[in-house]
Amino acid sequence: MLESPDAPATILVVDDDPAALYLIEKALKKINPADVTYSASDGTETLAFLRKEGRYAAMPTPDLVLLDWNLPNVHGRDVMAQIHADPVLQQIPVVVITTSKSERDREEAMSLQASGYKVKELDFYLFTEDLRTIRNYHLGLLEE
Amino acid sequence: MSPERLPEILMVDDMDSNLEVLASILSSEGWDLAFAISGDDALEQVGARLPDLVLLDINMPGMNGFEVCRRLKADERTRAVPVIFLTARTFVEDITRGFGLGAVDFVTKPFHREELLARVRTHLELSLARSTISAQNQQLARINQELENRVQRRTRDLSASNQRLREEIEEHQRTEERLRESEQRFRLLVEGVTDYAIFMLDLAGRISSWNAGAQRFKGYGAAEIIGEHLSRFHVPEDVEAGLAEHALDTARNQGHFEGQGWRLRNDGQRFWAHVVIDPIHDDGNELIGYAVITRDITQQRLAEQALNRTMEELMQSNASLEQFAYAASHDLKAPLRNIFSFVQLLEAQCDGQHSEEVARCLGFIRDNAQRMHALIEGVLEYSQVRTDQSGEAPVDLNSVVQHARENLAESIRNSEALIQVGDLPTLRGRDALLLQLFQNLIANAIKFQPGDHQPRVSIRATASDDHWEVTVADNGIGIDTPHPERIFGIFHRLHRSVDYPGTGIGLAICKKAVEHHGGTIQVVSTPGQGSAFIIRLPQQPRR
Repeated sequence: MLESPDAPATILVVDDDPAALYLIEKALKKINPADVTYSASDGTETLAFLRKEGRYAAMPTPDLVLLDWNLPNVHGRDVMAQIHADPVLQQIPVVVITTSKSERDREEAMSLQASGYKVKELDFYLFTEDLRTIRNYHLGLLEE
Repeated sequence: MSPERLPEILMVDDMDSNLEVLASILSSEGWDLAFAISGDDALEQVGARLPDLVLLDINMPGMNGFEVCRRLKADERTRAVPVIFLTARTFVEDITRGFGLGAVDFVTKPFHREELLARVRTHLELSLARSTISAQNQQLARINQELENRVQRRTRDLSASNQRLREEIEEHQRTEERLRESEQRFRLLVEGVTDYAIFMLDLAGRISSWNAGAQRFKGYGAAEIIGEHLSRFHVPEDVEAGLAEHALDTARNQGHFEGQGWRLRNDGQRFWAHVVIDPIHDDGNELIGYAVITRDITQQRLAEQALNRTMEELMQSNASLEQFAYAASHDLKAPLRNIFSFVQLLEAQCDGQHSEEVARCLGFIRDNAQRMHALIEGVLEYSQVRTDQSGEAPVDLNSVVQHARENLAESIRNSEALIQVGDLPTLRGRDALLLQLFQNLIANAIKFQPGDHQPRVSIRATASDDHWEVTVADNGIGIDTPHPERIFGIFHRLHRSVDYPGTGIGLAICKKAVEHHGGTIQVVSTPGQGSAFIIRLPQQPRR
């Protein structure tokens, strides 16, 4: 929980597409330059980071995770399943950000206790606004 | 005169002394006696008393005995009374005359007692006998008549019965004749059929009749196959499995057997047959055999199998294509989005700093990326119009249209579009598909309008035959093309993007959705005035 929107948050962004990562980080920077963002490009890395395994031992617990759904190898649903199964990790809000409009994917993500599911907007500016809403809401600063 | 009653004798003599003599002789027998003293008196008394015998003196004053006798015999009533003449004279002429008049005897005076008694007794007995005989004769005659009557009646009855019997026999013969003819026709019919093997089995399942079709399919001639068992035609696996017994049991117990399977020709070749076996019962409902009808459907089966294989392949192919379309479009979206977003970032960088040329180029890149994105989304949507049967339920079109209006709320508001909806039916189908159908049609109606026009859309339904006809009509620019049906083709567009943006997928999806429900969609349009899309959907789902 943050006191104000300006307070810095720690956000983990997961996407296997470097271009998509760049866009999300750029958008977050616009929303709050003080936010600290970490990135992972696959599911294995994500879980290691969250569990603070190996080289991630000193990593902080993120206030919010933005998770791409269609990850190679360890899929977004596998990541969600493991997070949900872990009593510590399931406290962390995870919002799925994806290009997939599929209702089935949405339902699956929500059934694995994702905190949200957002389809990536084509337009960068609209996308930025979506992220702002997501960030502020899940950090306890906004009413839904 | 009856034998029970005492005989009554009437004595007729004009001389008392004679009467006394007679009386004294006759009274000893205990007979009833009466007397008359003249002819008239005699006639009167005979008429009144009808005595059993009359002793009649001939010589009397006035009417003599002969006259009396003549009158007595002339009268039917008195004719039968025996008359014995009493006379003093014994002239032959008298005697002859007397007998001629009908008298039965003569007695001469003076009377001899025994002779008189004897004669009277005799004649009384004779008379009695005569009347008895007469009565018996009469009875006989009556009985005869009665018998004759009965015989006549019997004869009439018999005659009538005979007639009826004859008629019945004729009727029977005619019926038999008709039956024979009918059987004959039937037999010829069955024997002549070559496309079906029709033959009969006895109770044990042995062939008892054959026809041309059977010979054609199975190869056996009638002579060689009659008497053989049904299992002769079965392939070894079926013989082992007891197919014949099973078939006959089923026919016997359930009244019908039907099946398909391999059968054997006499040369050992197999053919695929459709077989029907029915039991045959006689009039008393006793089972007397079976009727078998077999058809060679080898060709049909092969065709069916080929068709099934083709269908399988097509379905698999379809499924692969759908999967491919989905995967391809999905994977194409992410890079496109990146292109679009990065161009936006570049444009932000360029703002005012570089030449207009650069700005224009970036603009084109962004527009095309956007267009590609829209196309890919369209392809994805189209490929995802699921045509399987799951998810069918009653759908109220009124709420579908309402849902579509909510989805299009913003553009309806912006264009101030007026949408009028009549009473729409409920039908069985897929909610999501019908939503896409109406949403696309309404969106088009709003989009394809001239300038500042206020779009007016009307949605109405009517019932016709076993169909619903739903018409979505608008006051837009209409459709100006020589081939109106082509607008339902995928990617088909009538306008430039700069005039009316779009992917050309909306109507293709509409068509797919309508066809999923077994319906049709057509368009009627007057360019410059508007268009009407006519959707026909069956009231009962077909498929």
